[in-house]
Amino acid sequence: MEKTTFAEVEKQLMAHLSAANLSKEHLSHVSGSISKTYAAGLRIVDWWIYGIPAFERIVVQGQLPIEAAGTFQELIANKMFKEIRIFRKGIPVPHFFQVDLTIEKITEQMPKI
Amino acid sequence: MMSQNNESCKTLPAGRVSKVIQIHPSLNCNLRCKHCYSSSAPGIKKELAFDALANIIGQAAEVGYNVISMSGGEPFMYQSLEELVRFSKSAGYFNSVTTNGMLLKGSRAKNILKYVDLIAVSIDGKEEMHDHMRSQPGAFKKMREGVAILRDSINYGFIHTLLPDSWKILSWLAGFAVDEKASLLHLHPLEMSGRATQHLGGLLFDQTDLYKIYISHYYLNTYFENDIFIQLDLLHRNNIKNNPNFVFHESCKPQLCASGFSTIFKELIINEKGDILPIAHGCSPFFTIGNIYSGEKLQYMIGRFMHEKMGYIIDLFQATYDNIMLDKELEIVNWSEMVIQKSHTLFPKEQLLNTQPNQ
Ligand code: SF4
Repeated sequence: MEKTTFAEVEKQLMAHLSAANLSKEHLSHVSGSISKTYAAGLRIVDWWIYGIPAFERIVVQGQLPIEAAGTFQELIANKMFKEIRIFRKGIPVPHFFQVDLTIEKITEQMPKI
Repeated sequence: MMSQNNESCKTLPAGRVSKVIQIHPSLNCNLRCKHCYSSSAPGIKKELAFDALANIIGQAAEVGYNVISMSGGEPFMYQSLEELVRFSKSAGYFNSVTTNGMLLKGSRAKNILKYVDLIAVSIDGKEEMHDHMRSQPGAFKKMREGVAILRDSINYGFIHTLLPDSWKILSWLAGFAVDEKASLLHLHPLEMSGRATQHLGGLLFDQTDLYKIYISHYYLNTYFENDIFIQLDLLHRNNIKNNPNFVFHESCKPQLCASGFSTIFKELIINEKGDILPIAHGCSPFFTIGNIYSGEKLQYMIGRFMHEKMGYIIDLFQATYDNIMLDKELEIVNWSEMVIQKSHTLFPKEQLLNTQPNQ
């Protein structure tokens, strides 16, 4: 996945947060996921929002130090994350895990307009 | 203000936990902003005496405080600003000044800036919005002239008062701050006190606004991680739950002695009357620790405060915490603002110490 440009960030954010069919429940879900990544000690390095303006899913890419690997259990137990992909990074010895989290697929929960 | 990332802010002293004395030496200001929580305005003559302030600042260093944060009013209108920052620098403090950025030209400002480590310039949005909130056409242009002086000479950042629809301009604001080579963008929610109640009384945040601000902040902070630190004074309830910074659990009750004081109260406020308060500007006077003109030693004031009021502080924090945990609708919160509001409802000014604290 390519690093998102700032123009894209601005466009995505505005389109995403201004969408007329954005429900309070959805915003609550996304905020809750963010707070969980804070709590897990994940260092977020990028985001992607898919399906603007309907936005179907958000993928968050983060890095987790090897020492904090115990946090995986917490992430796995959290139902908000629909898909979790973990990559070992660092050569020759791994020094962090790259974690790609897919936050709740939400289109089906959004009210139709 | 407490923030999730407060202690890792790269603009504060490296390797040290910041223990801040926030000083409001006067309410004199060259502006009359619509959102001003301290109702500062031009022509307010009264200001705190340098000697009394220096005396307390000197003693506070012994108790563990290490950052001076000058606020106001407009600090550059305070007559003794140069003397004060020079004194606090010599006492080992990290000096920060929050300003509207319009009085940074000339030799006086230049001399003051020599002793300042961080300047925070307030910004309300794009030019039209900024001038509107500042009630002064041309305020934005003048602020930018001030920023041009800071850009190449000092570590500086911007501070923005969040309104309910601020999420619409946050990406512009972050991009602007990065282009202007600022190292910090501090986002602080509008406080409904002072002049804000008159001019912006109807502007209340609902949870939808707060979610949008919270999400935007996270997104932008992630994106600009290597360029700027973006601090948001809002928290998610998940990050408050069971966090000992917000509630004193039985297992980690704070050390109730003067030396433990600055660990519990990482911000000490000296308001325009010289009153010393914990928590934040605007907290109930019931919690006044002392006054800079009283002649009492700071250690003595702190000792008395710990003995008489600490039990009530624990109750206040617990009540705020319970309020958040019980109300499932409250997901994104401004913790300090909630504590301040509760301090007034639970401990109004008139309340006398006729009961024993529960310690
Ligand atoms: S908000 Fe700041 S610049 Fe505006 S009136 Fe108040 S103290 Fe002055």
